Order: sequence, then C-alpha cells, then structure tokens
Amino acid sequence: MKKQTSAQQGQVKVSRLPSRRQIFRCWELYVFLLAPVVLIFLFGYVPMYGIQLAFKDFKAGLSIAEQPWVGLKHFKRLANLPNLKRLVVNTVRISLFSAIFTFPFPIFLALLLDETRSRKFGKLVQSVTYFPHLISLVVVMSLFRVLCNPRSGLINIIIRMLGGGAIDFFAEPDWVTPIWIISSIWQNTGYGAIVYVAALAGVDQEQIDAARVDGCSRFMVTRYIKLPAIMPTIITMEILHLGQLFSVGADKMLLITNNMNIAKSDILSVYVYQVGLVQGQFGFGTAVGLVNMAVNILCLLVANGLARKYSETSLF
Amino acid sequence: MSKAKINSDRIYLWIVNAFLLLFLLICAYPLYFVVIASISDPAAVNLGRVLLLPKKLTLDAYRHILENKSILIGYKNTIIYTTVGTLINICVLLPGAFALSRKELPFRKAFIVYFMITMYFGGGLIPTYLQVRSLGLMDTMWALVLPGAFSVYNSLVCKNFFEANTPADLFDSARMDGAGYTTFFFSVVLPISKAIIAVMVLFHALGHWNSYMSAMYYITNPQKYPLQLVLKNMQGELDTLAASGSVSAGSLKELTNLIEGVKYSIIPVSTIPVALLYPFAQKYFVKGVTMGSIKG
Repeated sequence: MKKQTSAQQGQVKVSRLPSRRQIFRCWELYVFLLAPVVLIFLFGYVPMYGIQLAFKDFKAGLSIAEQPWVGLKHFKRLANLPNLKRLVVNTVRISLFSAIFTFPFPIFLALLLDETRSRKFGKLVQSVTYFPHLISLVVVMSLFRVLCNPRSGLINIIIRMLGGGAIDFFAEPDWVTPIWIISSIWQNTGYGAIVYVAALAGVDQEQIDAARVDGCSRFMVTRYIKLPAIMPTIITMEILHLGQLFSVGADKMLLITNNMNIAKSDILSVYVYQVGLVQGQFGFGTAVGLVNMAVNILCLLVANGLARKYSETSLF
Repeated sequence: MSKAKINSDRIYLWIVNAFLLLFLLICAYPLYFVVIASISDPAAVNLGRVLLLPKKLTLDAYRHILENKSILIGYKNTIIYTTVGTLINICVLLPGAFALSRKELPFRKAFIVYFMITMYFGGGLIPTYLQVRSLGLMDTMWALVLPGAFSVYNSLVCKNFFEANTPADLFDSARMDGAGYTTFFFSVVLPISKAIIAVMVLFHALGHWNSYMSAMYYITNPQKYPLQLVLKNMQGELDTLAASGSVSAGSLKELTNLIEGVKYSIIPVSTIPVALLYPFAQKYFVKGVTMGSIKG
C-alpha cells in the first residue's frame, strides 16, 4: 500500500472527455488491459452480485437471481447464534494479542542488525531469519506439531528433562493463542524487520557522528536517535494492523483447530468455511461472510483515518 | 574517546551480537532439528538423544515417503500448477501494469479504481466458490490459477516501477521511430525491468507452491491435489495413526516409529525446492519487500 495519489497528481486535469482519436491511439494499451479487466470482472465483481444470497435461501438448480428471498432470516439466525460471542471473542483475541506481542520483534531485530559492526554476520542473520517466511503454513504448523508432540516432541522432551510433565499443546484451548503468536513470531520476524532495516538505513549519519563526538554511547544513539527516527514507520505499521482486527486467516487456523481446542480456536473465517462450504449452507454462510467483511471494512476505514491523522502514509 | 566509553561500547556490541546469535539459533535450530531427526532412528529421537547430531542414521522415513504415491502425485501437480499459474500471472500482470503506467491513457483513473475496489471489497468465500463452480472450473487446475491470476496489489507495484523507470520522452522518441506501444513494451520496457520481473515471478511462484486453501475449496479428486494439501491431509492421518499406535504398544511399535520418522521427513521434502532456490533468489525477495514498501 503506497502513495497511490502522488503519481496521479502529476496528471494534467482533463476537463472534457477524451477524443476518439486519443482513445484509438492507445488501442494497444486497451488490449493489454483486456485480460485483467475480464479476470477481475469474473472473479471480483460477479461474486459481489452473489452477495444477494445472504438474503436468500439457496436451492440447487436455480440461478442466483431466481433463489427465493428470505429477508433478514440469516442475519437473525446469526444474531441468535449461541456461539456468536465465542466466535467474535476468539477472533479479536487472536488478532489483538498477536498484534501486541509480535510487533516488537522485527523492530528489535532491525535495530540489532543496524548496530552490529560485523557486516557478514548481520547478512547471515538476516538471510536465516527471513527464510521461515518462505515456508508454507502447512509445513510451519507441521513443524510446530512435531515439536509440540506430547511424547516425541522436542519441547516436551526438554520439559521432561527439566522435570515437568508433558503438555499436549494442540489439545489445550489455552495454548491456541500462544501457538498462533509464537509461530507468527518465528515465521515473520525476519520478514518484518526488512521494512525497519530500510528505514534505519535512512537515518542521518552526520547526526549519529555528531552525537558520538559529543560523548553519546552507542546505546544512547540507538535510544535517542535511531528509535525516534523509525517511529513514524512503527506507528504506520501498527495502524495498518488495526485495519485487520477482524480478518484472522482461516488458512492458518484450519491447521491449528481440532475438536479438543475448539473452545478457543473457533473463529469467524473458519466458521464461514465450515458452515458454508463443508455443510453447504450457502445463504447463511454468505451472510456470515458479509457481516465479517463489513466489520473488516469498518476497521480498515478507522485505521486509514488514524493513519491520515498520525502518520504520513495512508491506504487510500 | 575515554577508555571507559570504549569499553562500554565493546560490551554493548557483544550484547548486540549475542542477541543476533539468539535470533539466528531460534530460527535455524528447529529446522536443523527436523532434518537430523528425520535421518535418525525414531526411538533415539523420542528419548531426546538427538539434539545436536543425528544418531543411528537411517533413511527409512525418506524411503517410505518416496514410496507414497500421493506425495509424488502432489509434487507433480504442484510443479504444474506453479509453472502454469506463474506464467499466467506474469503474462496478465506486466502488460496490464504497463498500460496503467501510461499517463496518456484515456480513462486510466477509472481502470485503477475498477481494480482497486476489489482489493477491499469482494463477494466473499461462498459467492466466489459458486462463481468458480458455475464457470465449470471445479476439479480443474483453472480453479487454482484463474481466480487470483491478476493481482491488483502487485500490478500497482509494477505500475509504480514502470512510471519511475521509463522516462516520459522515451516513448515519444520510440514513437518517432515508428514503434507502437507493443514494440515499446517488449523492446524497451521489459529489458529494463528485469529486477521487478524476477521479484514478481518469485512471489507468485512461491504463492502457488505454498497454497492449499483454494485446492481445499475447489479440488475434490485426490489425483489432482497439490503437495500442500496432501501434506495437510497426511498430517491429520499421522495424528490419528500415532494416537491409535500409542494405545496398543508392542506390535505397532515398529509402525509408530516409522510414523514418527515420516512426520519429520515430510518437512524437508516439501521445503527443499524453496531452500535450494533461496540463496540465488534472496536479494530479490528482500528487494520485493522494500519495493512494495509495506506489504509484500
């Protein structure tokens, strides 16, 4: 998400519609845009038309337009859902806690990388810490399952060596959020650090040198020059997180959730999948998805407003 | 500078390096452990004897995996989906982004708005599923590669790159020589855009390689499962098998051991292609993140 507007501002204001000649002169560009326009129409806009299913009962054999209207039936059912509170609380808990606990690590790593005098070592650390980001979620969660296995997992072996009792992490509801957060930290710290490393590279070297001559220790330079210098980036990143408060990915949770930990691993996106695609309740599933999306957009708008107010970047 | 200050700085740098080493080990050790565990005797692993070096080398787990038809099929499918999918992505993305980067294009803003709306607003899971189904794409590769074929976000990244790297008068002079947009795109723009093309190829290819969700939605035939979905399903099977194995110990001990070994070996097997590519591609991955400035 970058400053999209700066590029457009350079454009000359066109007060009249473009002439046929102008359009014809660019015919090749329209050919270039044909495939994207069609693809986005088919898979972006046509599904939007299908949102009406949220207000309809789905019967096989009928087209979307022919399905019978049922008004707010699905929304009423959602509002009276015994699990609704649990779904919302679980979703918010995971996104909130993961935003709070994961954000310091990339900043810390980036500051360390900027501080070390050994270039080669820094490069090595950056390469290795970035790598987990490239591994698929399926494999990362397999890795965590293997390490957390109550009998043979490394973590439980260590716990037993220290005299503790084995814990079946994936069977305990209370471990759902920690597993989520720790795996995110493990997978994304090196990736997240890149943005801050780039921001730190832009810190005024003369200012640092001057501070050093005036007797500042390296730690003081970090604390009073570098950290404030990357503060705008940190604030922007945090605000952007806020925009995703209710969009916790089903892809990762489907790899963690099971019958034993469902009390805390039941989240909105997984519920839409379960009720919609697995159980085939298309109308109700669409309604839940629609509510989730509406809340997401609301969060995004709030986050964008905050970003406009408190930082230089905004989404749109 | 005073001696005390030099000393305190030295200690500080030691602490910095110690923390960096900690980050390095936390990221690398789990992966290293999985590799050595996968080539060790499962019994030794279970007893916690395999921590630094493999014990009683055995390749049974790998042999077992290579005998597993579904993994091989998954591998083959994923290679096909990744190749075809990435090819389509690139062929749609680059020309589209180039067109959007031309400021003289009439209705340019309208096109950008048309695309960007879908970044924030969509039909959601079920309407998208029904659309894929009504297009007759169920159980075909096209269900995996077409819905996300044009990435709006990446097209904006490419558009910005083209805008920044093709000077405005470059096209005018090309036009004087009689070149149209197509010639200009292929003979001028693409050759100076190698860096971003590499980034886009890598990101899209990795996305296809790692994805399992769309296959879970759209593919029901196990013969067409991609690798990640095979792995996910296998993980589930291993869990149930291991649970039943531990109950009736003794005769099943051998089987349980094998399962434990396979659990480790599926991780390297599915990650090897990415790991092999990584040293060569690393600089592009890093570049890609900073190009997109925030999101990658």
